[in-house]
Amino acid sequence: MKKLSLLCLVTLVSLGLYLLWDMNYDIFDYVIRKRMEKVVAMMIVGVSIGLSTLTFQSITNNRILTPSILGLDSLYLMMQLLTVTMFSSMASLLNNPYLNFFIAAALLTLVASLIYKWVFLRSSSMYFMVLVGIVMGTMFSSINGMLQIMISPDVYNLVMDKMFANFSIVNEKLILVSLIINGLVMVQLVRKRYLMDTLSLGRDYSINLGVDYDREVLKLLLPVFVLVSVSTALVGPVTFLGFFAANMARVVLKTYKHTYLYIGTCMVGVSVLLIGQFFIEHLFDFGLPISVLISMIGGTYFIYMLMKENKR
Amino acid sequence: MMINKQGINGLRKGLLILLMIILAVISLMVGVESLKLSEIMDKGSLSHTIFFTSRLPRTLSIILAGFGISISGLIFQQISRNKFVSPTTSGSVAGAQLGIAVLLAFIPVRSTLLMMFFAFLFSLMVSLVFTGLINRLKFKELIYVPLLGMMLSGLVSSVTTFVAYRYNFLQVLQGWFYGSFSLVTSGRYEMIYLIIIPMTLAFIYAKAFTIASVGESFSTNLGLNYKRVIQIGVIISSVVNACIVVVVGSVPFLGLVVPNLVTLYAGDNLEKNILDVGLLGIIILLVSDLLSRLIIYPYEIPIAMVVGVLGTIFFLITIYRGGKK
Repeated sequence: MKKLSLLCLVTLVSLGLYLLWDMNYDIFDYVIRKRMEKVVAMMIVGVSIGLSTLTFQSITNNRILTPSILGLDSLYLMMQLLTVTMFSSMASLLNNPYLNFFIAAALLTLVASLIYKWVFLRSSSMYFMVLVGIVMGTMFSSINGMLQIMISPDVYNLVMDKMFANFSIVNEKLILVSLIINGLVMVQLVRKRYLMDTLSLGRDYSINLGVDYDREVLKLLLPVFVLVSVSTALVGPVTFLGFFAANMARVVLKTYKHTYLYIGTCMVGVSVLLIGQFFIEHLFDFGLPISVLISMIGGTYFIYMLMKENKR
Repeated sequence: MMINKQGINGLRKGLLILLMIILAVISLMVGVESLKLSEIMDKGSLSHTIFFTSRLPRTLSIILAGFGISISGLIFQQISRNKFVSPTTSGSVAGAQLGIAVLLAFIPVRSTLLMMFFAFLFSLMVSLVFTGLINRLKFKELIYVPLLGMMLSGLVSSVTTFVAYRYNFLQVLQGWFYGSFSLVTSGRYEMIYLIIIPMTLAFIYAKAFTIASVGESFSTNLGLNYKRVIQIGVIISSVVNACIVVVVGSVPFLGLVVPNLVTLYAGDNLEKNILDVGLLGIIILLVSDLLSRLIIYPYEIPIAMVVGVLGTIFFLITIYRGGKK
């Protein structure tokens, strides 16, 4: 509990820091309103990605892979690239934020569910998932590579907005829509928090304890993918966020109770985004996408963690 | 009738070489302009110019690239003792790319040789970090090693993205790194001949790599200077990666798939397989290149796309067959 309140404190401090740093009090109302908008978007993304990643990791019994790392992000990018290259007459799809949002969210959820349902029904071993993940990721990114060369530099600049998560240009109405969708889905996940404690023991133990493992997992995968897809469609891909948040929560809280883990992940997710965005705005002067910053930190942490877990 | 093993082995290599030669000839002849055989040696004719500035360089560089990529994949798999490691999934290609990005962003001198050097240097550094890290892994579980490589690769690429984003040449860089043989013409591909040096080294040290694949303590026991062999392997792979990234761009899957294919039919002895791996790499790359030129003839699809998609299909079939519950 002490550690949970520590995390809570970190979140509050980063929130305060982000909202009030470098404040111009003459136009306080305007600045605070703009910043609050971004904060709400960050909270939606941080909480959605955190919750879904933790759930995904617990049910697949691994601490390394996340839906984003397994190719969901490159799929999103491929969709955005395809819209501009294949259907240049439908460029409105990229420009109309509402259409783009709904199509991206729906398609991502659909494709991810199909792929992972197929994978999961075939074999629930992590080894198998890694393979499919590598393969899917490589295929999507080799298609992306070609599309990226084909488009003109002007269009490329347009797509670049979609390539990296950006909290500065989020649509207000879409924030509300995502809040409603993800809020409803999150309730589903949170209600299953005790079941998660059992599922995280693995397939054999769960079945032994009387849980219909395969059915429950399939039922949980859908909310996981909805959360990731909606938040990706809202701001763009933040590949390492989920990985970082879920692992950090586990390391700090050192518990297997998902009630606490869920709260912890959300807080880490939100504070990472707040602190990252803070640095981007005040230190890098917007010259660095937040997802790249998180990739650098997340990647380093990942390698550190892998080494620590496997120390000789 | 008994056919001895060596006979089969020799026959197989002969077949591979024959197939390679046939494909190479087809590759020389395929193109928008059809060549007149009688005119090729005739200086000043159109056929002569096309043949010597475009067709021959292209086919030669495919042969060198296919050979280099698949053999450096094989060496990487042997020294990391893991079948899922390859230059693209261990960060060494990402390292070479970072080297080029750093050069473009910070050093105002443009020379291919300098570019090669930077690509080599960064590729070497990342590869050394990778081998250093996997040496410290306690449980060399099958998935941890490639996972570590992928993460390292992602980390290095994010730095590259950062540099390119900052200096606004992201699209140019992506175009460059995307493997394609369409720009290989005389005057701008000669660097790829450098691959011959590390390949010679690879054949000289083939036995040492085979022994090194049984692990540090065992191979040291057998009288091998393990650390040096690993270093040589890493250097070979870095030179190859630097050449390929600078001249062609990155080609996914090849370094991963070819050694595994050869292992399927010929077992795990690097010393015996090294030629097979190289030849098969050339053959696959020649076929992919022909496809990339013929699918939307007279235009071209970049080879990275063809290899990426073919590789995916191949993998999914393998997974589909092997992964049944």
